[in-house]
Amino acid sequence: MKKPSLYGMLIALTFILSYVEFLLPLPWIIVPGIKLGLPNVVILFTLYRYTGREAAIVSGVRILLFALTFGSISLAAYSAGGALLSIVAMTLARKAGVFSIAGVSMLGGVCHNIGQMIVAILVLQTPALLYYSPILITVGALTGILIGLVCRQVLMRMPKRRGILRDQ
Amino acid sequence: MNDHKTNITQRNRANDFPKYKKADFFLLAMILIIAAAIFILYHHDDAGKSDGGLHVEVRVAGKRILSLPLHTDCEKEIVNDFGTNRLVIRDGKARIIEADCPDKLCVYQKAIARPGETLICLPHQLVVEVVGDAPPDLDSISN
Repeated sequence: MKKPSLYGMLIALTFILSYVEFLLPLPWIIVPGIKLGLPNVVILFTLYRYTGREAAIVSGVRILLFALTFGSISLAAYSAGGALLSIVAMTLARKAGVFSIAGVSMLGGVCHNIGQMIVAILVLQTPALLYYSPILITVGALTGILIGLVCRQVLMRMPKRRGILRDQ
Repeated sequence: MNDHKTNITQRNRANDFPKYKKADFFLLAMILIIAAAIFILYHHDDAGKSDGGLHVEVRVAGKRILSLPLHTDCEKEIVNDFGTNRLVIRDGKARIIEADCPDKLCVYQKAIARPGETLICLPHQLVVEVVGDAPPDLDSISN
């Protein structure tokens, strides 16, 4: 993928989804770090239509943009840790070829939450956060599957050789 | 006719992207087993613990700054370089009722009462944890 316009569009899409998620109230929150992960539909799409490199770039720019707009830079470190681990894991899982999109995304969701937790443990210097790992892992798997199924629908409906999202 | 054509492409695309594969279920099972194992590891010895000796420990960036008994109601303002959180202990449960962090996730968290449970404010690098026994040397620091 070489076109800056494609990057621009993918980043804009994922940024919008971040904002939508930011607006959603979370009365059900019990543990920090639990999110639906809507922006990951775009990241997963990028991974499948292009490669892990493009997905990592889109994800990195989204995190930076979001931190500058709505959050703080220190919070971006947690997202970045999660995103890095999940994109590496998803790229490898996709290459292995034995998982469906939902399976790859499930692994990504779990790894995202694990990555976030690792950064939090390092920053706060307390392994106490491990207490929440069972729920973070389980929720990560569930949201990952959901995101994967949504992305599958998008990939099935989006023609590969026609339209704006043409392969280079 | 056009409809028919679309159906064929849709079906081909569905073949490109199977809804699930066998390995998905192995992965899911493995993930759930790991989660369950960690859960059991943390909870198997809960029954033996009495509520009497429980304390909450307040740490900022890994450094213990405060220890409060969970059975005494109190309200404390925790101020550090990053910001302020208001911690309340009532009816044997601790929670944060106010904070000046950007996301307020610490305020949304459920009150904690069991050993190992934590309240976390990531922007302020604050961790409040319920612990079984109070370390003896902390009273002088907290007052």
